Amino acid sequence: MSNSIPDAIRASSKPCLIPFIVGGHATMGAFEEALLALDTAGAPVIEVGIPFSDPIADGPVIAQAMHQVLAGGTTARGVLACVKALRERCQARLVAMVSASITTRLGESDPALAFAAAGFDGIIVPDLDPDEASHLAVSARRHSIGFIPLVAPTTEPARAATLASMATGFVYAIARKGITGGDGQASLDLAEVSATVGRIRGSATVPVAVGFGLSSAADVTAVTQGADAAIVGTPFVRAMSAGGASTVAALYRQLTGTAASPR
Amino acid sequence: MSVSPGLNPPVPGQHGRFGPFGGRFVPETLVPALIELDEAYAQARRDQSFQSQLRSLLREFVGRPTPLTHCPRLTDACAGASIWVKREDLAHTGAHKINNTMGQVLLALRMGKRRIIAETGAGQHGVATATACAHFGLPCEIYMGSEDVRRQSLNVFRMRLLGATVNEVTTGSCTLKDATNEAMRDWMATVGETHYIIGSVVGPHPFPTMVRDFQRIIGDECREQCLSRLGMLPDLVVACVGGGSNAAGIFAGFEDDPSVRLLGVEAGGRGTKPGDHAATLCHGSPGVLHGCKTMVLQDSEGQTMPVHSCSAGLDYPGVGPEHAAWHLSGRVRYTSVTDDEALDAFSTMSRTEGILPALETSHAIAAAMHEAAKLPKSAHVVINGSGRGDKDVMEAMRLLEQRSRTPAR
Repeated sequence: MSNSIPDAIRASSKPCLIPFIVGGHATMGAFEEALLALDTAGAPVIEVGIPFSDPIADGPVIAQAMHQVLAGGTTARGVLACVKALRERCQARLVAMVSASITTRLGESDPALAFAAAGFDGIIVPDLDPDEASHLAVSARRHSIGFIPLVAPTTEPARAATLASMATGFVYAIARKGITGGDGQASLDLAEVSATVGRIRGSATVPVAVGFGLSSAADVTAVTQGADAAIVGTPFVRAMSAGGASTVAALYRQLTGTAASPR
Repeated sequence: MSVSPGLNPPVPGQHGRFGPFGGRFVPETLVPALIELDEAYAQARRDQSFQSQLRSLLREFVGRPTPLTHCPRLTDACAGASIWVKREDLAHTGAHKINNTMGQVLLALRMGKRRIIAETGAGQHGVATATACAHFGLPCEIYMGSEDVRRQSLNVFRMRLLGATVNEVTTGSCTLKDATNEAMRDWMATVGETHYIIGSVVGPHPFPTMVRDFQRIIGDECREQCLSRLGMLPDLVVACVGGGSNAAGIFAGFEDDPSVRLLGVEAGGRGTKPGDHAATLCHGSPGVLHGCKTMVLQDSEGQTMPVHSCSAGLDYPGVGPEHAAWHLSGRVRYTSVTDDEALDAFSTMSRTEGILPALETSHAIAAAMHEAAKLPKSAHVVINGSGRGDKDVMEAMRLLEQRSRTPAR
């Protein structure tokens, strides 16, 4: 059975934006409010980062948010419980971004189980061992949630095709070499993004979303010329720290160029 | 029974698995670089010109072979087995780390990578990397936790003298694990032109295998020296284990000699409570850290736990996957030694033998003294003298003064 993420992305108003926030950030209550506010603002899919002590793919803003959440006593299981409790009130599809260190501990033999049970619709493991991709894909399929592989600008075409063909939620195209967050780094290389999306297109039956280093409405507009969705993380995490749910929802509207009207 | 040293070093299983451990748990951006490195290293390993260039560098620049030194006064003090030390402290830069950095810099040059980065804990790997880069004129950036910068300021200055940039890391626990995170982040952004020299037998495949191979010269030399000096193999080989590169290097030379017992010594710190030690194999459990599945100090949902050791080089919550496999198979036994015991061994070794050992090495010495006392005088114990203690004198002074002010426990 397929999951509903591809439909949600295809049915989204344009441009399709997938916001990323950190589970339990800045408090569990604020996180819950923000998820619901983003849902109301029209986000078709929301990506939730499960806090991890050593997020090597993340820049300083997201890493610091995760450290802060963990220092406050929040756990990965606590985030899953919070999502489970609010799941019925949220129409948006929820995707977990979770390190292999955590999936290994929460259920190595059936890694998608804990996330499906919490009500997530898809799972992304950014540091998945390439040899374990099919293990996670099988587990995700067993629980009818989307398996979302990452494809980088450095990924060889043959490998990109293999990963894309395994995807059931969407394919996460990494916009550039490097970590998350757009601060102080080179602006998006749209030709490189387009090449990466192109390598994926031929083999994927699901939508392609572009993330890593996107920070402005112009970035969102630019990448969604070729891709089906844009993923923005660091600015949303910063908005959570600055003002919580209402700031996050306002940022969503600003980045998608939509009026402040609920759907 | 025995194999010829240096020939057919063991290879891990498919994609760097050592039994259930190893692998490549890294962001996709790095996967192609690891595949490229794996292929380049496999070629270099078979290439006689690469191997002879490396041998020549190790002889003429590093000063190998290092001696195997008998320790008669330490032996008398323990009243048991004869104690010997493999003198990696006499290798250029004062520790075994240079064996690996010379090998990896040669490999980076062969791959056309013109920029080098590394993480460091105690600073020995940072110094060894900066040295290799200075020798070949490559730009070099070292990531080091701010806590280690404080403990090892002398090594920070040495790295800068050698032309390296030292980036102080102030995230997380501000030690080796966080320096490793930052180095990996740098590598993700610069992967095309940069080679990341991991300093221990940790990280994603092929690093654990490659670093072990570059360090096994310790074990190969030591085995030959034992045969020629003692006329026999030793009964016991002892090495300290943080990430585990010096231990993997010396153990690799004796792994196929079943009569030789192998003992790895972890940092027992202040005690057995979480956060008080860095004894990963003694107290940890299987998990994923820094690109590989291995034994780690994590909580029940995979968050890295704080660690402690008086020795910056052992202050790490993971361990090489091959050690995890040796632990599982029982080929190597692992134990731990506390900060206090290591400090005592640091002093004893200095006074009895005129060898000032690194605090890391002092852990191996403490365990070896304990074991030697239980063995007959006819037995031989070899300690891997992984590094010299000059870098540690300020920290040792601080700790010894602190201890003299508090009543003995």
